Amino acid sequence: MRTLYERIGGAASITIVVDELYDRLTCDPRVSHHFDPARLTAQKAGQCAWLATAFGSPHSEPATDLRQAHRHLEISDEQVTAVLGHLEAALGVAEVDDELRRQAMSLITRLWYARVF
Amino acid sequence: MQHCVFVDGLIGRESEFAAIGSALRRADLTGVVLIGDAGVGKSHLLGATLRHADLMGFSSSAITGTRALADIPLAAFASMLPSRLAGDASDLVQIRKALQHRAGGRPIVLGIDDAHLLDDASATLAHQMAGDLTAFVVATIRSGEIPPEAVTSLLKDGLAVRIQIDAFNRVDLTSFAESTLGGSISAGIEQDLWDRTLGNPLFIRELLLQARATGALALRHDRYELVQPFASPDTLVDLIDSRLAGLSVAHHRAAALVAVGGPLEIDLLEQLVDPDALVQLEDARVLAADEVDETLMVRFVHPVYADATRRRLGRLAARQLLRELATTLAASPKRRPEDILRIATWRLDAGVEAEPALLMQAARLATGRNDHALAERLAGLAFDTEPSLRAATMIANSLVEQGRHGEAHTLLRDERINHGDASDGDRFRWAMIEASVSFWGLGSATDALRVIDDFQSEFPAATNHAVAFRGSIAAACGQPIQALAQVPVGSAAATTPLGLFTVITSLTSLGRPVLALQTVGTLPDNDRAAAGAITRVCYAFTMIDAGRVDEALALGVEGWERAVRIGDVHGRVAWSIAIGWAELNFGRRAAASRWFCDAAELARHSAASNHGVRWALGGGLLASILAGDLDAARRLRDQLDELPAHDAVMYAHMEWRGRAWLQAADEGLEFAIASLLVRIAETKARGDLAPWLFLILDVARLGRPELAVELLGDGEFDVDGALLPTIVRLLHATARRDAEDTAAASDELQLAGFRVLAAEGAAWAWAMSRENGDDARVVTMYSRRAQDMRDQIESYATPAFTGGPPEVSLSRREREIAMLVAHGHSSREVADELIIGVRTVESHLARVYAKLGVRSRVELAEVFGLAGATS
Repeated sequence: MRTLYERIGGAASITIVVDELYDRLTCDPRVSHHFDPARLTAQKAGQCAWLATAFGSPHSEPATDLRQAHRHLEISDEQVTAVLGHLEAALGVAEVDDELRRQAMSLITRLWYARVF
Repeated sequence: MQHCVFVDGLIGRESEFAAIGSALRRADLTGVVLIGDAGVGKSHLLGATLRHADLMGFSSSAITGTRALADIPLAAFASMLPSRLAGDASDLVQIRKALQHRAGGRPIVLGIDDAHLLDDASATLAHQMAGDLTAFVVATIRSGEIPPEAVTSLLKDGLAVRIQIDAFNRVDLTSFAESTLGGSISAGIEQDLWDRTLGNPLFIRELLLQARATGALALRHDRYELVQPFASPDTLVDLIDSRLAGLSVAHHRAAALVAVGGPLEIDLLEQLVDPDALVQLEDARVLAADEVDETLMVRFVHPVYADATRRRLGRLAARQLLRELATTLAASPKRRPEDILRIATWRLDAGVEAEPALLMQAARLATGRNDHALAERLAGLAFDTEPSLRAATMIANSLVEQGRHGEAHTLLRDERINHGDASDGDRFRWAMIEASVSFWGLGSATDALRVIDDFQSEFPAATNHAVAFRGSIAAACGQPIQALAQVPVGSAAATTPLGLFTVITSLTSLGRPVLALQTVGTLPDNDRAAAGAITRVCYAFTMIDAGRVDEALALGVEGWERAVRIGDVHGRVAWSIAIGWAELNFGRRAAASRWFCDAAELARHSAASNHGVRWALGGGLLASILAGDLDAARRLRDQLDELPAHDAVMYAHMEWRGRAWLQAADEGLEFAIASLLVRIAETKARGDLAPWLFLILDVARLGRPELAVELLGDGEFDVDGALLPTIVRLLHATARRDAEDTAAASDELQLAGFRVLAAEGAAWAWAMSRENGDDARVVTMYSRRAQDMRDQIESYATPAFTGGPPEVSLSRREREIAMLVAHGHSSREVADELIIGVRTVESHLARVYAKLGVRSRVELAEVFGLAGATS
């Protein structure tokens, strides 16, 4: 079975998703303060790698544990909803079809909630 | 550890719980399967996991497999629906929707307790929901039990990991014991507990609770100590036994009846025992009751109780109870026709002589439920009492269904069979099954025809069926002309189930799928009869050949769901293959592979049909090789090599083609063509036109279009439908290097649902137009069409796609952006127009530049024939 990574369109699509996602996040006052403009490129690269691994890319290194990555942050439910909403929109911009988008969102949401399980 | 998780009720299971948590955090998993012995605490751990998941923001749902409901499709999920199950495909959708609705965007955790007792349809649904990431599944399975295939395949497909739940170690034992009692225990108790229970939690719990209740365990200075030794039982079973032993005679009797009879209707039980005893046993948490189909069924709270009760019950006592159950149920006014089966089985187990007629009736019911092992046993007993032809035929049928064709063959020739009393109908059924075994089971058309000849000479009256059988053999052997000579369209034989199969298959073989569909008219609606099911599947195949792939897909999924629901293994295999074949042509090769793989596994597992295995493996081989997965293809070819020969060549078409494609990759094109030529000659000689055409098409697809046209010859073809005439047209156009006509044929193929072939045709048209030196704009037009069509399918590794110059394939979004930019819009304007970020536009554009080999907006505009627009 092809991985979600392949079906979504591989690295090319993920780059588009992440570009779009960060465009949105940095403009959203609810979450923009979490993103340091100086480190944006690095954060985007990290995000690309993380999504690639989560979706099952055969090439990526194991991704950082979500729990570890967000340890120092105070994150509210509203912020989570905001980020997930932007991610879903970004997947749309990258032309990921509805069913794949549902699957991707279902996975990412689960991984997010599971980080403190 | 950063977070110290405290979960209520998890004493001694922290590491197993942590393992569930890590699985939940792994992106590549969508489930865990907890496996352990009875009483080890799987359900308990599952419950704690689901409660914790709810607290952590998940939406948890739970279902439970039960023996009583294991035969009722989707019963385990029924409680999730607001209304009753509709009993059709809409249930699957409704259950999924109900789960998602309840979750409201939160991630779903689906708990399945006792997954080994789940009905097949529920197991399949759970597997699907794990596979498409709808839910994370946590299932429990008792060690040594065989769960439904769909549950095992969660592990096999790598969707879930197995977590072994073992008995407690010493440390866990102590904390568990202390949490059970709510106070600390002395070292002596700990040692004693360990010696007796070896860490089985249910055992520990029962032992402690009983000891405290009898006063053997007492609290002294905040610490529990043993005042008297623990009660005598040495095992969990003995312990439960001693609990049961403490019950009154009436209680005993009630428990014993449930133990021997399985879950029982309350009405039936109340006729045999004091209703008060049942209430008391429920209070004592020995028995419980669930509603099944509006009937209250009584069962044990934990299966261990049933085992314990059965083990301590004397054999004579058990027989006595079974006899009572059988008699009471037989006399019950509420008896349903299907209760005959239980009555007969109980009588058998009770050692009561059952009259052959009852046994045969029960065997028929068992066959209807697809419990062929039971049918074999019942009919076997009937045969022992009275070796009738009818009983022998019933046993043979059960054996065939279990894939034991050899045994069936021997039995049908058994000298004990009393042919004298048999009615003509019995003899007819006997001959049909004998012919079936010889042909479908053992693969010999000659043997089967001999049986039919004998039969026909004896009973000219039943000629229609015999004739239809002959026709069906010819049809399956790829001899459509002979088959139709036997069973002419419109003849009486053609109206029998096998006649219908013969007509539809032969006309399709002759390249007249549309005529076939017209002739058959409306679809036969009898799925119970094997011939009915297979005719429906043939109907779907014919639709595909007629170029109605999407309709065939819909019909296929419906048929497959129905087969799953009624437990029809053959139907499931055949429908899976039909769906796989449609998907493969439609451009979803991954799904096609999955369907073929499922079908092969199921066919092999049920051992019901060698031709089914061959058919499915052949499909898998073709799908793998078209996907470019040589390793998988070779593996499948090796498996095919091991199968015994079979005369029914209609199931080998995909295999032949797959083998040839694999040969092209492994040994070279010439070898592949040589193999194809052999098959092309064979099919031509038999008049098997449709397969012949597909083989010739492969010659062209592998890179020899001129040879393909030569093979077609000059004659006109009397083929119909949207597909076959178009294939002929495509072959001619390709050989002429006529880009326009090739593209036109490709458009028609697209409409027929043969999207892979359409995309290949479009790619050829593009290559031809380039080679023919067409105007740049024309080439661009062909290139866009080729890209469009290719975008609609998954990647296929056929020469049309892999050969030739590297391809320029812009995604829809890239093309959209490129067009806007070529028309002179700035990135900002494009971003605003498409409501996306500027940076996204830039990254799309960078890719477009790289793909098209252009360096500026002006060059880009030129490629799109819009020079000047940007200035």
